[in-house]
Amino acid sequence: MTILYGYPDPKYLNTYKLGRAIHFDAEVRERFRKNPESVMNEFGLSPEEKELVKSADPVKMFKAGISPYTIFFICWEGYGFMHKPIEEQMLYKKDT
Amino acid sequence: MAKIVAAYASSHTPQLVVQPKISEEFTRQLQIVHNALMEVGRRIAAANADTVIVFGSDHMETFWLNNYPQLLLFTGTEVGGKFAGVELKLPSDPQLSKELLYGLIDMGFDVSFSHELELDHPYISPMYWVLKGAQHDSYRSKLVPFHVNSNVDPRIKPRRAFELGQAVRKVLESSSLPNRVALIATGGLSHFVGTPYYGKVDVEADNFLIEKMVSGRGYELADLTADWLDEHGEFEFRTWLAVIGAVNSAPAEVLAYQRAWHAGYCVMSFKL
Repeated sequence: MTILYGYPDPKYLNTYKLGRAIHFDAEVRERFRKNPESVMNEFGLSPEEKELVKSADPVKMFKAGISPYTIFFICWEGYGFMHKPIEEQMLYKKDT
Repeated sequence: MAKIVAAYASSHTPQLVVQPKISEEFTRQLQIVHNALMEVGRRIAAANADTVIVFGSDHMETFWLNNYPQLLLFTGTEVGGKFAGVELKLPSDPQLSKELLYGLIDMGFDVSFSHELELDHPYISPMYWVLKGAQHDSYRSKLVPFHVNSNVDPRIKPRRAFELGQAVRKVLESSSLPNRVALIATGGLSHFVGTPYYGKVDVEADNFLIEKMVSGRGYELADLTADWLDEHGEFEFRTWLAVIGAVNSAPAEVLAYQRAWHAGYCVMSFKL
């Protein structure tokens, strides 16, 4: 493990825009929670990006190369992970 | 001559203001950190600081991928922002920040500037509590945000952050302005937000950094590598290095340290 907060891959620009909108705009956040597909279409996400966002899987998104902050906006703020029990938010398991 | 009269460093997590009710232990830990930040506010007011320079690290919130700065100094007259229902609006110090901008450019730091910024949690989370402690209604200091890119690669090197702090001190000391300046670094300590390591907290790395600062050997931390900082979740320590450089590695006092489930929360006061 070396650099974790790497260069934001430009191929995910629309996903970054979606994450930013979820962070800043309560109305977008609410609509995303109700109908993620429709909001992803508005932001022009590619099929690959849609699959990643729909997965709500931070590890999968990170491994694909999406910025950790966009992952936080989408999963913790968009999908509401921040208010889930701690054990559900924790991705790091000592034994893995 | 402007004078640095107080210096601090603190974590800046969103949870400091969101305060999610996810465990009694976490609520208790956040309270301890809130109290330490309010103590910072009381100390800044007691030191009669008229300007607070806050070294923060943006997370693609204030800045965006159309223009992402390595170093950016706020130079406008009023600054603020909204985060999680908290709204901050404060006067800034355009005279001092203009001197800093020109002085730093003269010293080889190509700092960007902005007269207009929307701050987010790296500033609002800690400052909400600091201002509360300073009894913001009766005591009103000017706020000068200073962005140090710690979160989006490529980022400035740790030594460069330390040298930036040294340069800030030199510019302040050569200024004809009479300001009494407080410094605050925000970010850290160990955490891994948005990565598969989220929930890991490298207490050993936190203790290593804390011991160096407490013993007045913060200058040794300028030799840390960018890889080391990421590997231990200490990437935001760049802002702390700026303050360490600005206070000539003055010894520090730990006002709070809490190993929470997702971050090593720390509030540090430097002894000037």
